[in-house]
Amino acid sequence: MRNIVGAFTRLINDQKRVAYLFILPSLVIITFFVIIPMFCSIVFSFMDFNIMFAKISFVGVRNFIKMFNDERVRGALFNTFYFTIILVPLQVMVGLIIAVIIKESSVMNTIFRGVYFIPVICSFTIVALIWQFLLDRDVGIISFYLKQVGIHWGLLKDPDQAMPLVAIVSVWKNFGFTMVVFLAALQGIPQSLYEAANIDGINRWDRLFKITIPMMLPTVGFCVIIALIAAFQAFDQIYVMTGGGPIFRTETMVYYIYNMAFRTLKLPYASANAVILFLIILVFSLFTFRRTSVHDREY
Amino acid sequence: MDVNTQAATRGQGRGLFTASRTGVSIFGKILKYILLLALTVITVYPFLWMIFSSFKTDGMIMATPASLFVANPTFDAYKKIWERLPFLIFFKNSVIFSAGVTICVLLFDTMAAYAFARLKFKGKNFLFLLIVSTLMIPFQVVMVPLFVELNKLRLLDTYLGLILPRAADAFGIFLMRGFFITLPRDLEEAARIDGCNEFQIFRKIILPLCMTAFLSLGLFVFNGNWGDLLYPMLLTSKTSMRTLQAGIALMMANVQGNAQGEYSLMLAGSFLSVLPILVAYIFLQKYFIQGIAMTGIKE
Repeated sequence: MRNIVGAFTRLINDQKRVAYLFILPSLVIITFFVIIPMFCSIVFSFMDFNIMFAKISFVGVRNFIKMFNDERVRGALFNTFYFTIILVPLQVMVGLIIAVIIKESSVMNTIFRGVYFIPVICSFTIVALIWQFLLDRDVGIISFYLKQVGIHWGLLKDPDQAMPLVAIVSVWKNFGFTMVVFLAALQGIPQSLYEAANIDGINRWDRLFKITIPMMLPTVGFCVIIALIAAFQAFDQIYVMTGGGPIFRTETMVYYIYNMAFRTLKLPYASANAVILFLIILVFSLFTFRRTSVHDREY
Repeated sequence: MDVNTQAATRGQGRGLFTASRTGVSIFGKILKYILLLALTVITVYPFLWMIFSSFKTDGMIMATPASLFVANPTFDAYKKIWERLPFLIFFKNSVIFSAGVTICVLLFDTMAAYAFARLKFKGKNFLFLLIVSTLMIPFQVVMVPLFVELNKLRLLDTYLGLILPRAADAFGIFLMRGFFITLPRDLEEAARIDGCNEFQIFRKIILPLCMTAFLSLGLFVFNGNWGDLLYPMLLTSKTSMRTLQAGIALMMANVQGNAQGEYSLMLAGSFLSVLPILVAYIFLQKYFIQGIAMTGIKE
């Protein structure tokens, strides 16, 4: 017993050993539930097996060739990019504009900040559920008012309107997040820059375009990456609002992977799709990261 | 008095610069407030609509969808929801899952972060890079192998299976390490000289200094898991193990298309599920927003 206590005392007084002890739990968990599954995803994508894990065989790139010829993959890729292209610029721009407008600290601005942040803390399930009701073709208030001015839209039931609507609801939920990140960055701009500009008699627009926005560029890049990655991973809002429909027009890559894996039970094929999705996210985040680091160096 | 004079001089100074544009700035101010108030209405209305409509009958919701006015408030939905869904069980599951993950993350992440920030050991940089690089891997990419893994471990439909894969995460380690690095080293050196071991230094000196960051990370993790849909939905299939979000989303998916007769019920359920978060937000707004703003701090 004394030996164990002694060993323990020696252990916790030894910086090196204690360090490994501190890291061990996190490392084990991340290894088992992120790193190993990531490798499995890659391995699965070159395999074929059924749901019972029988008839296991290596099939090379057959899953990827199948993807290439899969109409639904093409649709899902298009939908993913379509969703991203609507979501990212809107979310970043609205967040930035609002942050610039309410950056001064006053009671009103604090209230506005608090209010705009409410959708961020609520779950996407609930947000999507409320908006699904508001956007309902038959009884929702949006179509209620549209009908009064003679517009009869299908909204979420319309194949052309569903995806933009889901994207706009996502912007509604997330713009408060970008706003807060921008507000934090705005507070980081040294006040002396503005004072110097005031002495030089620079007008408000020049102040915005020549000081605020250039100083904010790294943060803009950061928000673009975050919004981009979130957009590529969107699932909850689509699951609740459209279920991938109408006629697969809101089925994104993630949604397709989910369907393949857990509805059609084609795990290897779903893994191949997941690997491609991973590569797309990787390329986009590295590209954006590089672009913004370049700006970092310039300023 | 002194402050007033100061403000007055500053006001005058500003007046000099913008004298020729006073008209424009008043107009701009009005425009600004119209924009901010419109955005406030757009942000708040859906929530108010959810709350008020949950006290209406379905007939009333469909007759006047836009109205927030409740003529004869009824608690039917709040009575019926307990029979219609095992709501209390969902609630309990959500609490156990979110709280379990949060406690583990706070413990394991701060331990690992402390080691990476402060202790010297072999392979430190490699291990840190390994952990941080897992930030690039989205859950959607590893969800198929993770599901298979937990199935093999017979951990599906258990609390352990829900909590364990999320018990540590790279983001928290990255974040807390950033905080620990900024703390002055003198304090712990002094403690070390006084004979404290690493555990005591960590608990008595480092943790109290990082309380704000600690709370913010905790809220961030708790809220993220409370609102998550895909992850708990995948890893549970029994109704008795469903979380709130999964339970509500599945109910929504089941009635998609013929939601008649369920409107107020689902709105009541949504309101109840979001209520704890909203109440917490009112009291802990600072930490909620800080948790988000922290994610915007780079490097």
